[in-house]
Amino acid sequence: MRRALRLDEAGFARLVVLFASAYVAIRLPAFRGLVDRSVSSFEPVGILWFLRSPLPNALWFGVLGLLFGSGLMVLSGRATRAAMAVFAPCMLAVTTYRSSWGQLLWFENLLVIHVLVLTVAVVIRPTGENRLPPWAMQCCAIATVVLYVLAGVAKLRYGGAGWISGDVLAHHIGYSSARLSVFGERPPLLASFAVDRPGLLAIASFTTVAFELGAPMALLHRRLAVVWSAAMWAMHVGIALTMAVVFPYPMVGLAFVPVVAVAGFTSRPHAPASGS
Amino acid sequence: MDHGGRRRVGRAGETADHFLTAMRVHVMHLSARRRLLLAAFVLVLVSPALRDVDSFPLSTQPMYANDRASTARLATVIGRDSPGAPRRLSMRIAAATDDPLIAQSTVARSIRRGKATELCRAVADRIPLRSPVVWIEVGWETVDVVAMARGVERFGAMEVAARCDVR
Repeated sequence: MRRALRLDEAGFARLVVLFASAYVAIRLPAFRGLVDRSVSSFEPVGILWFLRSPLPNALWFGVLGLLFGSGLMVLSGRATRAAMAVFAPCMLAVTTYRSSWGQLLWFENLLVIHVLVLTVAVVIRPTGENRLPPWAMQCCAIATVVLYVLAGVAKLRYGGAGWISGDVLAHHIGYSSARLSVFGERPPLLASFAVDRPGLLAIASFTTVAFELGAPMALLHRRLAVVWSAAMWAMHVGIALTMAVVFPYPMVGLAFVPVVAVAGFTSRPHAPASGS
Repeated sequence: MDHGGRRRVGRAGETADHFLTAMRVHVMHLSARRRLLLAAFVLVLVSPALRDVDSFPLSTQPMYANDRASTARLATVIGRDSPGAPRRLSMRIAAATDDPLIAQSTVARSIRRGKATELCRAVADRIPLRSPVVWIEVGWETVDVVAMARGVERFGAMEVAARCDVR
C-alpha cells in the first residue's frame, strides 16, 4: 500500500511541465501584455540583469512560443531530454522577464526552481533510462521546505513581534482589500470577517510562522509531511479568501508532492530509483 | 499545578530531543558526497536571505512580511466625469494589468519617479470612447485599511500628483 502511494519522479516532472505550460497559457494575457508596459518601468532582475531595455516584441513572443513548443514535446514524450533542456531556460526567462517590471512575483519562484531541478535530472540521467534519480525529488522537497523556512524567517526579520500578534496580518488583509477597492474591485471574500476577529488572526499568525519555520520536520516522516502540507495548503486557501492573492503552484498541491513523496528519505540510503 | 507544568515542559523537551536525534540519525545515513551536494543546494536557496537581497527565482520570500501600518497611502488613478464625480478605473485601464499587486506598484513607482503625468496620459489613451470620464487624476489616497475592510471607512480626499484630460 505504502509502495503504491509513491510517485514516480519522471511522472512528477511531466506533471510540473504540464502545470507550468498551463499556467503560462492561462496567464498569457498578462505575459503578452508586457509589451504594452512603459519602458521606464523596466527593471531587469535575476538572469536578465544585463538587459538595458525590454526585449524586442518578436523575441519575447518567440520565447513564449518556444516554451509552449518544448512543453508539448515533453508532454508527448518526444525528445524529452532536448525538450526539457529548452523548456526550463524558457520558463526561467519568461517568469524572470515578468518579474522585471518593478514588482517581483513570489508565487512563481518554487515552480521555476522545481522545473530547473527536474530538468538537470532529466538531462544528466543515463541514456535509455526512463526513470529519474531519486535525488531529483529529494531536491524538489528540500526546495519547497527551504522556501517556506525563508518565508517564516522573513516574517520575523521584517515584521518582528507584530507579526506574531496578528496585527501585521490584519493590516495586510486590510491593505489587500483597499488595494482592490482603489481599482473599483470587490474586496476579498473573507477580508471583513478576518479583520473583525483579532484573536483568530493572532492564532493564524503564530501558527503560520511556526509551521513555516518548522518545515524541515516534514522531511522526517510521511505523516508529518502530510500534516505540514495540509497546513500550508490551508494557509494558501486562507490567503486567497482574505487577500485575493492566489499562489497557484501550492494551491493545486504540486508544491507539496515531493515533500510527501520523499519524507524520511534520508533514512532510506539505498532506495532504488523509483523512490521506494 | 506546578508538577503538571514541569511535566509538560519535560515532555516538550523530550519531543524536541527526539526530533533532533532523528534529524542527526537521518543526516548520518547520507553519503559524504550527497551531503555536500545537498548542503550546496540549500546554500544556494538561502543565499538571498544571507545577503538580504531579493531577486528571482532565488528570493528572501518577503511576501506579507513587512510591518505594515493600519493607515496606508495607496497610489491611485481615478477618472472624473464632467460634474467632477469620481469614477474608479479598472486595473486594466489604470496600469495595463489584471494583477492588483502589479497595478499598485506600477502607479506608485510612476508617482515616486516623477512620471505621474506620463502615466496619466497613458491611462487617458486607454479610456474607452463612450466613457463618461473626461479627465484623469493620478495621486495618493490615505485610508485606515482595517477600518475600510470592516466597511466603516471610505477613501477621503486625494493628494493629486498629476491631472490630464481625456482626448
